[in-house]
Amino acid sequence: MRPVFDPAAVVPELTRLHHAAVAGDWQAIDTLFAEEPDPYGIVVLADTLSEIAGVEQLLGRVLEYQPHNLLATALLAGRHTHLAWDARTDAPAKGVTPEGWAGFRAHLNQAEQLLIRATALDPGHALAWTMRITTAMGLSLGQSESERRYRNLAKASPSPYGGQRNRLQQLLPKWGGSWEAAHAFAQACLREAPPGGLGGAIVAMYHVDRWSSFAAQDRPEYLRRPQVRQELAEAAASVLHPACRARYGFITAHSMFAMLASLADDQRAAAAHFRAMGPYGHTYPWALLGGDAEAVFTEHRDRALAQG
Amino acid sequence: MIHQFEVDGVPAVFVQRPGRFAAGLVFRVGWADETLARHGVTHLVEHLALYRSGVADHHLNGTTGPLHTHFHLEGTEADVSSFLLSVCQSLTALPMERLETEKDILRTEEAGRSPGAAEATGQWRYGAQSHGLCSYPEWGLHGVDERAVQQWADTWFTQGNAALWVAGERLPQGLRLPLRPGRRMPVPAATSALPVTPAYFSGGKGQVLFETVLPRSTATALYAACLDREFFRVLRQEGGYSYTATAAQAHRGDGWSTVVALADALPEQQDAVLGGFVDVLARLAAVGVPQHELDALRRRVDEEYTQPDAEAGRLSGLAADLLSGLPPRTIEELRAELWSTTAEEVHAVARQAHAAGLLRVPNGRRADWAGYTAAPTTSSVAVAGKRHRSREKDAPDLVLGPEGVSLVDDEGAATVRYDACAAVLNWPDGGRRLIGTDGITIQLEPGCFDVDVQSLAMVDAAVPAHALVRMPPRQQRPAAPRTAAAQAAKAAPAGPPFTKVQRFMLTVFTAAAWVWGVILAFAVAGAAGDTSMLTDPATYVLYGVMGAVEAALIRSVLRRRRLRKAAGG
Repeated sequence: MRPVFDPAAVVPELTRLHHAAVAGDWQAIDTLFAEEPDPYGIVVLADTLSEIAGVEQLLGRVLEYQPHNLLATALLAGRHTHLAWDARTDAPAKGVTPEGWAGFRAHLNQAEQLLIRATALDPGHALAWTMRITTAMGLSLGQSESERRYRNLAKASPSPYGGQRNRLQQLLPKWGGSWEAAHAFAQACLREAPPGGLGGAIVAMYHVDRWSSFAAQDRPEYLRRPQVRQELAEAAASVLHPACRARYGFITAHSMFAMLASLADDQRAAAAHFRAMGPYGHTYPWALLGGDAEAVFTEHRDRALAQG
Repeated sequence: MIHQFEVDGVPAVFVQRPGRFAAGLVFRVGWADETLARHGVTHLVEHLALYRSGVADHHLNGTTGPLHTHFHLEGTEADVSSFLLSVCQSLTALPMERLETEKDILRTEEAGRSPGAAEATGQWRYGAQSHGLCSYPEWGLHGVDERAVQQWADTWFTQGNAALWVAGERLPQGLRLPLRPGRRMPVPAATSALPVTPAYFSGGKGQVLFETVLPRSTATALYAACLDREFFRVLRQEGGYSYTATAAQAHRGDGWSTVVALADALPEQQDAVLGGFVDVLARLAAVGVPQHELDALRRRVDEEYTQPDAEAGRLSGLAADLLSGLPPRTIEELRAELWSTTAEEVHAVARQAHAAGLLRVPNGRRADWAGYTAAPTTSSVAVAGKRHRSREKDAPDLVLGPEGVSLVDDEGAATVRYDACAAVLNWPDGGRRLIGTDGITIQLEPGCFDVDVQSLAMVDAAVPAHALVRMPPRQQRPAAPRTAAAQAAKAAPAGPPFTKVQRFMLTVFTAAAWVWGVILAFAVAGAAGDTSMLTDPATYVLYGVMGAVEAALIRSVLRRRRLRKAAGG
């Protein structure tokens, strides 16, 4: 049977959020956030909202009447961050136009100033600190500042998966870090994760990035290295733990482990992750393989489930 | 209890206290009253006026500030009377035979001084004028002659522009202040070189600095104490990013206070220190200070007010206030204000502090992301005039017009208008440096531009005479800037303390001193066991010569130390 790729099928809140935003219903948005107990769920909801065109107008109106509304402040910052990357486009740095860079910086500045205010009013605002790790990266505020923000986030929200994902990006060589620093951070996330936490998925995320940094012909060899296999097996155990019942991030976490196992031709391990995903699928990180990501996912899944 | 009285028409304040006498004579003049081209003349008068007081046993000193010059000492009752008399007599007839020597001492003092926060931010906030002059070398020393120095003293160091303070067991008898008559000088208006605040500039080697200007009040003092506490807690105790993280306030002398905060950082932690710094400022502006913290800070300030020597410690400030036309406040009044200041008032000051702030970020960093506007490093317009191409590749071109001088390139312009020209440094080799009152600087080096001698002579003719500073010959020319912005960068570094040749000579002399010392020691030790040498007159001649050389070297070192100490103002 063909897997379901729509994230909203896993988490219906995403659909409700979308409808509320399009309808301009702030009360409904506010309730969705207030009722979400998972800190990473809050991050995913905010990311989802940031993609909705025109939502900045709704958030601006809310702030006119409630200037101290920190959720609206953070969500507007999230929207500006999204607009910043829109302005920059996906082009490699050399291909970005001067206007693109100017728009990128202007939107990030707006986002950052909203977030400075949010964390000033509430130093324990986890969503704002999570976003400030991303703005720090775009604004090139440096590694030590990124780390300071992560430390402030971790103080407010222990083992913050959303912030860990953002922090890992900054630690990668493409954002001025190093493979060693990124690797050490991923291992630390795994060590510090509570039972059933998603911290182990940061290890998978690291290996996906490391794997894709190699030339195509060297990639399979990387995934067959005993140390890589060992690290992934340890990290996989954390997300396969019976206590791991996360609703948000669960599918993408298994999706990463499944791909890395499948590419190493470890069908048994891959099958365990595909089974954990149930009827659902995800295109990340399969899109990195090129071609139709959904088809590639399905092909690997069928093979693993047949053999493992 | 403070008693007010008068000596020879000079208003005075006295506090009775046991122990040694202390007194100070304050004049309402400082560097903010100078122009860049005459910068240093007040400091020079201060040094000359103290010369005749010599190096007696009692402790005496002079200080020159932005708005006040202060002569003070501790000693016996007789010391106080004779010191004040000597200073006043000197001020009316300065010891001009010391003029060149004191200029040299001041230059030495300047070279040895490490710039503080005020020097770092002054030119950015105020420009090359008023309070901003502290950022610049005392270039006025080059041009002032005996007449100009005495004229400055006669204008500013007068009976009408002075106030006295005394502390001791009793009011000293027979105090005399024979000053020239003169009028009370108004406090100059503070200038501004910042079109927008909060503003930032980059500079320095890793230290983050914040400076802001606030009305002088108890709420401002409490805000500064709170900032100090928060920086230390966040950047040092919790973050471990800084060793020094502190804030303090100082009265500017005109009813306003300057609050300065700074935090140092290792190179790899500079970004985190900047981020933490911005967040502390933002947090105080957003939420102010919690009541229990405010009460703790209050108790700390109150402890200072209730120290036994608190009244006496305030005297010099009170004398300065008298001169600035500010009402003298008793400690009881200040304590009452301390305990009646509310958290809301401190919060309001915190917001004001942030809005008026000037931030210095480490080199290569920005602070636009935090809502700070870049302080101007270029001019908004170039003067109209004839453009002369630069002879250097990628260097800005020169524009000479009837209204001023500009350097222009693709990135912008640096302009100094003749009617807003703070100083023009003029070297014998033809080099010129024009500095605008806004702090924008243009360096003109002979041969750098495709320009004829007549056109350059026009610049000299157009420069206002009061702005001209004839500089002594220089060792080397500055390197040509690559861009107008780099050219305009507000930097007025003082030269190195010693030139290469001086450093070489110093090394040679120091080495010689050691060699002589060792030879002398061996000679004395050897002679002790050799009686034949002791009968040879040549031995004594040799010892005499070596001893004399050694004594001269030691004396030169001691003398240098003494000069520095005397120049402590």
